[in-house]
Amino acid sequence: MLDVDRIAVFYGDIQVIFDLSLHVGEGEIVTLIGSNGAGKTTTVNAISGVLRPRSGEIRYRGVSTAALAPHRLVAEGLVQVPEGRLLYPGLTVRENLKMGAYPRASRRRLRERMDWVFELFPRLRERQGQSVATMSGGEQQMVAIGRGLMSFPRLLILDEPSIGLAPLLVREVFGVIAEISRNQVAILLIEQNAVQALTLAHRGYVLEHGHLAHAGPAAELLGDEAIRSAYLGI
Amino acid sequence: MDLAILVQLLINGILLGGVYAMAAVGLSLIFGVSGVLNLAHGEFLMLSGFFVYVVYDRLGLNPFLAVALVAPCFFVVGYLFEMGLIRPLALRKEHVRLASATLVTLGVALIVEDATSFASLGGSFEKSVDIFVPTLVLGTVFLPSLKLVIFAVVLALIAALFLFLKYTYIGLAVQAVTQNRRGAVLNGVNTFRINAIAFGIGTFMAAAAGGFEVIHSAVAPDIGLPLTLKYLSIIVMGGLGSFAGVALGGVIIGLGEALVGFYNPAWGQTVAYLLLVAILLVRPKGLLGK
Ligand SMILES: Nc1ncnc2c1ncn2[C@@H]1O[C@H](COP(=O)(O)OP(=O)(O)OP(=O)(O)O)[C@@H](O)[C@H]1O
Ligand SMILES: [Mg+2]
Repeated sequence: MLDVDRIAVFYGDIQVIFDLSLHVGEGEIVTLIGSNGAGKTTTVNAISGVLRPRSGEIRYRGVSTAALAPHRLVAEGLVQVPEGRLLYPGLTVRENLKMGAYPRASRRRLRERMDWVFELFPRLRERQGQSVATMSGGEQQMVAIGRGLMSFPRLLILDEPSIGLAPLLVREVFGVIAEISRNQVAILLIEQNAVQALTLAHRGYVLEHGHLAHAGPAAELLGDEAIRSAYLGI
Repeated sequence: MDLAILVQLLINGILLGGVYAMAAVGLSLIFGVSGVLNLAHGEFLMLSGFFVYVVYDRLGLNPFLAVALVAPCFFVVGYLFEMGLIRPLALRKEHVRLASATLVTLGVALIVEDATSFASLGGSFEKSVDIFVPTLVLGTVFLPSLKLVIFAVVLALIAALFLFLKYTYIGLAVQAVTQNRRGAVLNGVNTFRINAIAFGIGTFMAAAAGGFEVIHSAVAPDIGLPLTLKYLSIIVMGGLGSFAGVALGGVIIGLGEALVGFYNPAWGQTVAYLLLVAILLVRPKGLLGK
């Protein structure tokens, strides 16, 4: 599904990602964890085509993404739910979701898709006419995830979807991610909640100062003594 | 003041303000979507006014038909203007990009103004259209029916823009890009295309205004930049990002000009800036700004 092959990413002259490789397979949930400033969001934006790696290659479904504009990648099913949500504050919930289905192919199946999103987040159905600016952080996160689902992703990248949410809501969001995964969507999950992320994921990568520090099956990473003390706080 | 005269001035002011509002909404749309302050906006208005005059003069077409013919062409002009001159700046750093985009539009404004002066399109500089429409009399008040027709068309065009923004996918994307460009990119929006469409629509609104300007008043090559500045004050007065505020600002400036201009035409132009300063002192974010 996704192959990141030895990429280096810079901001101007400053290198932030060093020789990073990772892989997400069909139907997999893969998590990328790391402390603040490790380069997780940078990696995700390189995958989405918003930033371009200076060297290395990113392949999506076997094809290099170097020549594809970000909006083309979305149309191909590579969708990111970004850090900070990046919603449209002046639009209603419904209009925000509608924008998620912007690529032509998904517009045709708008209603069907919106019904599914409302099933995942029943609260959004009640609030569909409400302007997003007046919603709570948790509700906004639901809109952001729902909006990402509207374009029929094959690979969904979630950049810290649980940040700032109360524990009960975090559990709800993780439940929804599992449900999304059951619908043949591959998932790359960026998380601070390392324990929960590794519990849910099949495999995990640990990023440290832009370098890949650990990689392996989630259960193995959860059991690793060094990782436990550094990232899991246990 | 005689009440009848006051009513008359109010009517004239509102009718004048409608055309201002439409052109200002166009400029505001372009700024909101692309972040570019298009200093050539008034120039496209002026140019369209001249073309409307030429079509009317040479082909003998009804001037309103001439507007219907010319204004849509300016959608294409605006679209290509964005593609050819604004988009190439997109890869620059944010602050460099905004400064260079503003300079590019200023350069185009100056070129258009000088070229129009040179071409002079057949002798005298100022062009206007002679069209006779009977004036309606309502008691002691005269209703200038020409301006009424223009006002109705302006209202229809602004309403059409609202409906477009609210009920079409492209319109929704225009709003989305205005509110969160990075978010729109991640939703699969080709934001360059939306920029060009915004330039097209905004320039179309200016061109329609230019056509109406030549019908109910006159256009000359040097009106462009002063008009752009006036629209800018209307936008800031109404509140950045609020179309309703911009429309309100347009009408207020129209009223101010009509009322003050009655006593002293020379002050009619200045009143816009005095009003702007007065309103910003009371409401720093503009009338309906958030
Ligand atoms: N636009 C930018 N320009 C310059 N440096 C940047 C930019 N964005 C991020 N950085 C730097 O790149 C590094 C990685 O940032 P990034 O946002 O990818 O980290 P992250 O792992 O997502 O952190 P967090 O968990 O806080 O979201 C940081 O040192 C950050 O300061
Ligand atoms: Mg981040």
